[in-house]
Amino acid sequence: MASRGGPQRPNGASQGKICQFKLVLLGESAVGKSSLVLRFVKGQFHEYQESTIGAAFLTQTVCLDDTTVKFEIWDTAGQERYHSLAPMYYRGAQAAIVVYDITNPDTFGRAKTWVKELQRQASPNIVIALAGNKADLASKRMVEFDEAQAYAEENSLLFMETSAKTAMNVNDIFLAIAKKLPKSETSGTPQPRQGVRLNNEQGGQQSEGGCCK
Amino acid sequence: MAFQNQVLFAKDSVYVHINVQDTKDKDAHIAGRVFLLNKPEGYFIEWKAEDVLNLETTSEEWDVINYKNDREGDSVSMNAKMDARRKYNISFDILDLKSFKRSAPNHGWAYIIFILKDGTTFPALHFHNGGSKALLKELENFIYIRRSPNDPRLFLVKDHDPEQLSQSINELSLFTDSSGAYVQNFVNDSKHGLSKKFIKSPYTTTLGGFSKVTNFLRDVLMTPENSQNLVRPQSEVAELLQDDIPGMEISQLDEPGFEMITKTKLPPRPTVKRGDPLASPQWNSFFDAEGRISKVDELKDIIFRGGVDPALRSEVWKFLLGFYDWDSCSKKRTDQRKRKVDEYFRMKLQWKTISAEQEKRFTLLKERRGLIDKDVMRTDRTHKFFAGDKNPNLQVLYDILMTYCMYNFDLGYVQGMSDILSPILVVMENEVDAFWCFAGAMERVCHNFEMDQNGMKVQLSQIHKLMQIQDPELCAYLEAHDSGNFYFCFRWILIVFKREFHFHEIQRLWEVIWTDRPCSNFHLIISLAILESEKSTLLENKFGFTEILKHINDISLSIPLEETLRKAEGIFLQLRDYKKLPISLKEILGLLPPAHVPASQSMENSMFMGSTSNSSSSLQQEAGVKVDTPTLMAGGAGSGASSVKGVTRSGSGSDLTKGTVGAACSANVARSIGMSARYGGGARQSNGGGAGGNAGATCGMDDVHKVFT
Ligand SMILES: Nc1nc2c(ncn2[C@@H]2O[C@H](COP(=O)(O)OP(=O)(O)OP(=O)(O)O)[C@@H](O)[C@H]2O)c(=O)[nH]1
Ligand SMILES: [Mg+2]
Repeated sequence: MASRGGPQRPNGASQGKICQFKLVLLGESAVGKSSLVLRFVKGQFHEYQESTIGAAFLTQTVCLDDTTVKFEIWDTAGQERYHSLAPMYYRGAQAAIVVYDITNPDTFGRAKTWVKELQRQASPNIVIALAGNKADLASKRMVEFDEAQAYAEENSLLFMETSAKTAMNVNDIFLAIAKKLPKSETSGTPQPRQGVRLNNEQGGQQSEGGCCK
Repeated sequence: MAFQNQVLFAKDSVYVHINVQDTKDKDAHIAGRVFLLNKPEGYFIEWKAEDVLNLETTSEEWDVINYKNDREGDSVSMNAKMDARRKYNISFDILDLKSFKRSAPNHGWAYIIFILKDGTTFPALHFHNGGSKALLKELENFIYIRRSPNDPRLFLVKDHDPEQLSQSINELSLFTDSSGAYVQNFVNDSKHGLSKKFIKSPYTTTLGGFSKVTNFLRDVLMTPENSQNLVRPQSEVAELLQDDIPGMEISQLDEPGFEMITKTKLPPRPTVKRGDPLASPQWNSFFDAEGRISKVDELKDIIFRGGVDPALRSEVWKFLLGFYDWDSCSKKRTDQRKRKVDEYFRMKLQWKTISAEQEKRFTLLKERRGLIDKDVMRTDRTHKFFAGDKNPNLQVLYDILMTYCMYNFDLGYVQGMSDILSPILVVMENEVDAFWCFAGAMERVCHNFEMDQNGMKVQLSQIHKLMQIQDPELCAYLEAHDSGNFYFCFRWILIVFKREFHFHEIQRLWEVIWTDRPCSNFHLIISLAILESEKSTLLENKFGFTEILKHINDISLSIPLEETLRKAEGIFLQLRDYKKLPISLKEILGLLPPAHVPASQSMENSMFMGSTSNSSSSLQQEAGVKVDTPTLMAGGAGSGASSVKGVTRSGSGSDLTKGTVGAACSANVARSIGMSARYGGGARQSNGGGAGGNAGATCGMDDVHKVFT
């Protein structure tokens, strides 16, 4: 209970499918991207979470019925100045969480820009979720739930208000994404990189030996 | 099934060393315990701080072990503290373990660094009271571990699907499975005909660069580790490799990872010694009767070699960061400082007097304020100097950053700048001094923050170019794993390793770098040195793009500084002495003869001979910033030449940059000025190779590009 608030790996029983998905977090600086990942992966929250420079990469595994879904999560730096790095990280992503801060309308505007960019530039079937974070700060709310939800519906996005601080809806949003992702035979990630050969071999071993044995 | 979690192994006095709370202290050490647990979901290695464990005694997860609650937490601060401690919890399934690194045998106490398959690298666990071996022994009951043939400190966990490996090995029946990941690599690749491409006479040196490859393979075959199973006479190895490569053309495209066929043979690496920090008596001895530093080069050499005693930092840094001219006398410094104080407050007033109403129509300023607000809240808050909710130093941090916005409005505020300021403010403990020193430090790195990111791109590609010569194997590996753009070093370069080292270490590292020795791009060589240390981990774990980035992120705060500096200097010397070093690399390393970099003429007697010529100077010249005098490192006239007149620039600099006054006073007076004045003043802000005034920040990336590529 104490150390890992996030979803646990499966209980050793032999599982059916194993899927691996690349997920990227986007959104204005300080909306709580790193905090959401930290909550999801380690079950923790840091008031003074450092700003992200460059990008961070984390993994977390969730179980969905008889499928093991492994998220490869890319957490990016939010500031506009680093925008040009983002494509490197959302390229080939099957899912994205676009985050805004419900207490700051500018960040909602920025989120919309991200959604547009993803719709234009990312993989065509990418699953996009919109997260209105810092929902615990209800007294300072500046972006109405309904407004965001309407926008999400128009653009067929998953939508939830979240709080990395209280953990509200954090696991849920990742799970909702996992549900929506297409689960093919073994791995969801057709890694579009060079060196695939090596990676695939490795991945194969990993999933057999590592995850569900 | 009697227990939820069965404890197979437990050991106390296992410490995680965290960032220091005080610059003068040693690292803070968190005491904790390490466990090997049999959980329903698998075998886990876990580490938890004692504090956390004490709190969890009642938790169902820990029903086997019973700890004494030796200390009742005072409830108020307890929660925050616990959260901070929990941050360091370690828990992983041993099936996710990919490798681990042990401390060198002569290291004070043993530590282990665990590395997972996804690239996660945990902080080192220090076994202050022994037990590391016992843990590993226990671990061996569950996983197969072998030592890396290339790095005696690295241990690899063999995957649990041995079939594939042994099968391929059998195919060739040449290697034993103890012969390392490289072999597997070769074996796998051999299916694709690569081994066919290997060389006829691997031991003939005439093959130049090829010998590197064969050495590589030979090492794998011939390491002592393997020798029990596989003692192959050299002749046999040679034969084995004989499968020949008619054209010797190994194409980069066909076989990523094996294009390391570069004709590099660097001279052997000299051993490099580091020295003691510059201390007070020595420092004082450098000042003449007028309070002028007499042998600047010698002084910089000392700082490069050993850094600066923390007690002297606030004073010495003012020279390193251009707050004072190297050749200034005390009188001049007093004058300059006065002007600097005025100048600072004039700029501070500019943003302070903008009303909220006015700001509504001043979006740009409002945006910057917002960014600074966000970052001040989360810059080094675990450091004593910035800790606590109402810490007044946060306001100082904020004011300096806002004022810097006015000082360099074109650049604005970019994330990462607060990281540059924080260690400087901690040293200066004074708003004005910290501001001007920050401005001086920014001068060196402002191109990192430019809008188009070109400054970053240029430097990352310079690392690439250097590595092509310095370590073609690693370079080829990175290229083959989508990391040839070196973006995994982005954070290193952007904020000059600020997040990679403990606070007192970054102060040391920066003062070394600020000497511009052995060249102004030493930070790039430091990157090479760190990567070299991580090489076997990256290669033998066969890390791909994501794992590489993750591993590099995770080794932050566990990079040994002095060792890295020694290594980096060694690499620099190797490159410098390499006869065939391409011109472009010479330029990066500041090794071009004076003809190319006129301003460096006076520098030749420095420790690194000619190396102090500084690419940013050529940048400056090409960029067309007007320079009145040979400005490159005002103090560079160390070889006794008193010719350097103090930097005066007319360029686009403000009049701030002009003042260099000469007068006399003692070192003590100088010090008292440096230390006591509440609002220090009198500095020019341009340091060594930087451009003056606002020009530095605005000399666009195009200019950098021109020179650097
Ligand atoms: N109250 C509250 N604060 C939060 C929440 N999530 C994050 N924060 C705080 O918001 C600040 C920024 O959070 P980060 O997670 O660093 O934001 P980010 O989006 O990763 O920012 P960049 O790395 O700069 O792009 C931190 O001080 C967090 O503690 C939340 O759900 N509620
Ligand atoms: Mg972040």
